[in-house]
Parts: sequence; C-alpha cells; structure tokens
Amino acid sequence: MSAADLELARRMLAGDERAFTEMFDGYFPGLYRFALARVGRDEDAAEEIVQATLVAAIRKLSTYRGEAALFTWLCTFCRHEISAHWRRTRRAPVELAEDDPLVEAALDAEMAIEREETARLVHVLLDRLPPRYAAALEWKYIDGLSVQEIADRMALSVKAAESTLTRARDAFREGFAILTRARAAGEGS
Amino acid sequence: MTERDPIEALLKDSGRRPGVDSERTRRVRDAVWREWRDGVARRKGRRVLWAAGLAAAIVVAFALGTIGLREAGPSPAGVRVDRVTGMDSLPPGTELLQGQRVATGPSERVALRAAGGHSVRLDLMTALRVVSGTSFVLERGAVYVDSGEHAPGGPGIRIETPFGAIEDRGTRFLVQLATTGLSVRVREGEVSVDDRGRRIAIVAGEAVRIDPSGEVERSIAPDDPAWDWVRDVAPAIAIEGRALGEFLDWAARERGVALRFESPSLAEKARGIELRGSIEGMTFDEAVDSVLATTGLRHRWEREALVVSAP
Repeated sequence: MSAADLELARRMLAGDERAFTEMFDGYFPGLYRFALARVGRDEDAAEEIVQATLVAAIRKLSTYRGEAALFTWLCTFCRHEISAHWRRTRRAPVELAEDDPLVEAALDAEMAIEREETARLVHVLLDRLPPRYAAALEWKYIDGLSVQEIADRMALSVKAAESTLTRARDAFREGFAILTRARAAGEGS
Repeated sequence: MTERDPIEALLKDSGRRPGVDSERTRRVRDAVWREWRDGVARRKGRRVLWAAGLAAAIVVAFALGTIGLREAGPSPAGVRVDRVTGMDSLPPGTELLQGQRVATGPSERVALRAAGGHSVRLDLMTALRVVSGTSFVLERGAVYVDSGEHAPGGPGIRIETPFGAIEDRGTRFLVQLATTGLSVRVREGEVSVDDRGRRIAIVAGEAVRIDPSGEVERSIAPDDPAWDWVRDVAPAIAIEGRALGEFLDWAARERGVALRFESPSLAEKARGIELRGSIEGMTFDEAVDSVLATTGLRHRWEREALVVSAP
C-alpha cells in the first residue's frame, strides 16, 4: 500500500497542477529509461511509448488503489505499450534479465554480470526509489556533494538532509536485498 | 586500508542515470498535460451536468441553462508578452491563451503583462503555464512579480508551485523553484504561501525556503545577485513627454533602491524636466545612462539608493 502515491493520484484527479508536475517530473525520466531499454535503445519509440503510457494511465487514474507503488503501476501500462510496439513492428521483443523472475537477482555481486548491465540495474533500482531519495544518493555518492550542499539543494536543514540520506540508503539497501533474496529463491526452486 | 561503503561503491561504479533530452520531455509533457487537463475538465463537467440533471426534475428551465456548460477551446487569458530578451519565437504583444506554457532557454528571458497590469518576469530556464489572467503555474526556474501601482486588496497574482501557492498583496517578490524546494523573497509589501492548507506570510525583506516535507526556513532576504536578472527584462517605459522625476522613480524601483537627490532644489528641477525620445531596445543600465546624459545631471548607484547630483 502506498499512501503517498495514492494521495498524489487523488490530488491529480482533483486537478491539482502541483500534483501533475510532481508525478511527471518524478516518474517520466525513469519510465523513459524503462521503455528505452526494452525497445533496443530506439529513442523515438521510447518517447512514443511513454507518452501513450502516461496518457493511458491518466485515463485510468481513478482505478489506482495504491496496492503497488505508482511507478510499478505505470510500468504495467508501459509493458502493455511496449508489447503493442513489438506487435506493430512485427519484430522480436528485447528480452531483459530483470524481466525474468529467475534472474531477477542479477544484481548479486557473485554473478558475473557485465559492468554495464550492473549499472543499468542500479539505475533501475534508483528509478524505483522515491525521486528525492534517488537524487540524494546520486548527489552524495556520484557527485560527491557534502551534506550541507545536499541540504542547500533540497532546501532542507542539514539535520533533515542527513535524515533523508539515511532513509534513502535504507531504501536502496532494502531494494538490493529484495533482488538478492529473489535470486536465491530462484536458484533454490 | 579503508573498506569502501558498498552503496557508495555500487553507485559510483554505476554513474549517474542517463537524462532525457529536454525537447522529448517537453513534447511528452505537453501531450500528457493536455490529456490530464481534459480529463479533469470532463470530470468537473460531468459533476456539473449531474447536478443540473437532478435540478431538471424540478425545474426544466434550469436544465436548459446547462446547455451552455459545454467546454470551449482555449480562450485568451488577458496576458500578453511585454518584453523578451534572446528569444524570437514569442514577440512582444503576443496574447497568451489559457493553458499556454511559456518556457525560456539558457539565454532567454520574458516579461509578461498580466490581466491586472502586474509585471510577471521569467528568468532563464523557466517554464510557466498561464492558468488565467492572474494565475500561473511555475513548473521550473524563477519568476519575479511586480504589482506596480496595483492597489493591495485588488485581484493579486497567484503562482502555483509543487511546494505551495504564492499570492501577492500589492508587492514585488521573487519565486525560485528547484526540484527539491521553493524559495520566496519579498522586496516590497507582503505575500502569502498556501502550503497544503497552511498559510505562511512573508513580509518585505524576508526570505522563506520550503522543502518537500513542508519544513520552513525563514531568514532576512539577502541583497544579492539573485535579484539582478529582473532588470534585464524590465519592460521599458515610454519616456516621451514624461518628467525626469517619474523616470528616476521607475529606475530606482526596478533596482529596488530609494531615490535620493543631493539637494531639494535638484529634486524640484528633476520634476520639471520633460523627456523626449525612447529607450525601447536599451538595457536597463543603457537607458538610465542615456536619459541622465541628456539632462546634464549626474547619478551614481549606492547600496540602497540612486543618488542624483548636479554636474
């Protein structure tokens, strides 16, 4: 159950412009990357698919009940649009490791995953986090910003920024652990 | 040897997530926004028509009145483009429609004249959507509002942002929006920020930052370069036939400082000098320098004043 996502959907249904901006800015880039990876890096196709995805999702927004995170729910629409794309083009779809439950734990360091694929999966994981968590992690560990600088960017106090960073790390660690456990379960079965 | 933090190592090795081309983002955003807006309007229309249908059971004439509730296309918002810098696609005088989005690039600024006469100025890399003649949605960047001589208590400007809606009460203020927070600085008068039902009042000289969790930081508005860009796109006033004193009042106001004459007689003289010509197309500094040069008076900018002196 995602109360924050449900509230965001409710505000969008009520016509709140801020909610629309929050949804679009928070989820469009991740959704685009989700589609891009599945259409053989065809940027025009990804754009078309994500636009169709968001339009379809907005039409069905009143049916969103918050059972899954909003991004997960949007990905369901996106998968449908990607399938339609491959049907239209009469070509074989791109198959990705993380779409197969048995190899969903491909993030496990013991597996011989190509470096690029690992990076892509980390990006997938970041896209699944709340946008401000992902931004905080990137600023801290990729851009090397100090907590003070992160606080400035997020318009937060240093204490609040530290707290956000801690929650972001926990969420990242938890996401990573889920992938690892899923892999172990796949191997054991 | 220090062991690397595994999260840091994983993120560092993976690098930043690839971004999405801004033009693609704009295209998709516009298309999705239209669909969302239409959906909201349809739902509201259905609610209105349902209520009208119920009333029709009692008074038929009332139901006939609802025929006029059909949606119309976008209509003019009463907002026009006043001045642009670095942009060809939106010439001054252009009338904007309700729902229209104005976006500036890395070298573009735009000044709009809102329905109530307010000056609404967009900084570089800013996107603003026109909701009505006095209501706007700031999607990114920074916007400056100057209500000019607009009387407090009249219809003010409303700027909606993801972090709250700002309403002016006869004032000049600057709103800067980042993905992770909102900053509001007030130069004159007072504004209020409606943050999810909570009202935050900000008076002249104050600055407030609001983060996504609603945390508020209040401070003294610094007199820093954050204000400077608003002059770059300040709509030029018509000087033909105008008294020098009026022009100096305008210049001081745009700069956010007081106007000071070195002697009372000089103030009297400035009120009596009638200007000729035009400052159209000049930058703010060029306009002030040019006009003062024709009057034989000198001027200098001090920290808090425009000082006019005799030669």
